[in-house]
Amino acid sequence: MDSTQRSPVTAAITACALFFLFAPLAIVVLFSFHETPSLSFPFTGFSLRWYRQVFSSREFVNAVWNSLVVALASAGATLVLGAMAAYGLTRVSSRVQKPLAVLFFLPITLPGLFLGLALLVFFAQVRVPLSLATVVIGHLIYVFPYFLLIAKAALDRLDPALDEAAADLGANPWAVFWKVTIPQLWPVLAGATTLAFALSFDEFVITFFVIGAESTLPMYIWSGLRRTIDPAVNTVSSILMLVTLALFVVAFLLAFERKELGQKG
Amino acid sequence: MQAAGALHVKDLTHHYGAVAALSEVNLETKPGEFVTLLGPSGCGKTTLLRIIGGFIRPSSGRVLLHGEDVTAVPPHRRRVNTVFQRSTLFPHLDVFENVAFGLRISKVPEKEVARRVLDALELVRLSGFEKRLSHELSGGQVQRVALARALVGKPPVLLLDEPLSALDLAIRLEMEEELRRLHREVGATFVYVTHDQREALALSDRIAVFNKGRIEQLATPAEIYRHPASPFTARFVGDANVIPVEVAAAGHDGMVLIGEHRVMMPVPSGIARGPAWLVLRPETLRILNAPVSTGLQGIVRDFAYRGSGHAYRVAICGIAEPIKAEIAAEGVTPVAVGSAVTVTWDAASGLVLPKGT
Repeated sequence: MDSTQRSPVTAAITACALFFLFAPLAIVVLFSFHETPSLSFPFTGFSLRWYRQVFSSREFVNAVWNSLVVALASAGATLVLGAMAAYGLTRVSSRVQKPLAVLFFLPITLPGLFLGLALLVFFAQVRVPLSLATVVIGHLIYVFPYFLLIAKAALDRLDPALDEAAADLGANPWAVFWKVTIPQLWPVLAGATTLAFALSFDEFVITFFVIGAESTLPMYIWSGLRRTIDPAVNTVSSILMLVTLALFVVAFLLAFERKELGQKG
Repeated sequence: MQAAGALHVKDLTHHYGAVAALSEVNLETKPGEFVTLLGPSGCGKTTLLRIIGGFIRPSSGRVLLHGEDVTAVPPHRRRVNTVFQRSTLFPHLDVFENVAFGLRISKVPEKEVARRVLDALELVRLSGFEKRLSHELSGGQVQRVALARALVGKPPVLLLDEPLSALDLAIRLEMEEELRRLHREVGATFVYVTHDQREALALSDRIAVFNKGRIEQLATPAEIYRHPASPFTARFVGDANVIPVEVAAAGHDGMVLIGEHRVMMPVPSGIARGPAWLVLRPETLRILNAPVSTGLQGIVRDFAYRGSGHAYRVAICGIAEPIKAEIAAEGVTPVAVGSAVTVTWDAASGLVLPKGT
């Protein structure tokens, strides 16, 4: 492939795209360290005052706590249900597998707005009061397809001949699962679970509809913006961004790094 | 080293849908025997091995191990281990742990695990490879580890499913020698599947030649080579001329008509007059560079130098396919293509088979 030709136009477009992608993020992070409440240039000096203020806010700590609880619960539930679904999908007949997979993956295509609204109506219908639990249910629906996509791809790569070899050496199906299947899969499952955690941690749209009176970190940012333009919003956003970014990096390293896995010791 | 096991396969039939993969197969091995299931792909030999291993439940028939019916016993409870065609080493475990896998499953004490694993690796000459991962091994080494892993549990019967077919020729010859040595040292019954007749002849105590789901012949390699029971076996094991002939008289002083030629040779008395097959091994033939009244007169169509021998194709009038003949090269000047020659053989080395086979 000949990709050595460089046009100044494409270079300019690329530079623009990168600028518009990352400049706003950089400004948010920059101003989270601003020493004055001003949200515009000129930048007068660095300070950690907004971080101090944020961490001493009970509302913020409460929102972080809620976000962690929700993300942990949705990721945990996704791990259990998603792993079972992926395992099941690889073992049903191909006639059932296709339609079943489509149903499982469909939520990826639904707008969050629609999902949130649908869930809100549904919970009202079945008279389930809105709480963090309903948020977890919403997030589960949202992150499940992503998890399944990754887990199923990993399962498809497993060689069924290894299961036979293990059985041949005396391993019953339970032992085959724990000693052969899981050791090969766990890095991918851990990565996909981390991804589920990250997606849930900064989810806003569905949360907005089904959270009721509680608050999560994204909700906290949003409400902070609604009241006044509080400079602390920059700080909270920066924290959220850092946490999510770190989680994604971990997730992708685990799930997609094709190193030889599971070396003993 | 361990108790050798007798394996008994009784009236085994297996269908894949409407297709019969095995029909009425019977096979009984002696303890410590090396039995090869030989046949072209799709002949049912692998199906039989997988049934013995427990991976397939046969449509009907029984598998007995030491006289015990194991037909319905799942693979993990059979005292039978398998070496597979492709690498089935566990990628997440090193060589030591791969070999130790079965011992750990059966909760062998740790000290004994270490001793037996190291013994098994020594047996396959891979001492010092304990910490390697499967992707750090060559194809031959992978199969050695697979052998160690299958043998470490001291199975009375070891199944081998074309374990050498993925290897280069040089490694394959080396591994054949290893397999013979392992079989001698271990003393287990080996059931070996292959489509390579050379491998089967080189390794086996007995060979079961498979064709279309049936055993065509079950005998020692020499018996199979020298007295093939059917044209299929004759063609599949070693090289052979299988020539349509007409039996004029049976018995010790028999006579067959080959094309326009009359040849006096012993014909088994059970064979009726009429069409039959004559099996001639190329290396049992002689070529005389002159027309002689006995034997088959023909024209040399092709010649190939094979180092140890001269390979000829001789067209004989009245026979559709030119005859293959291989003559020892030592001290013989090759006969030129186009020469008129006579093909002869010792009466005892020709084999007449009835038409129905």
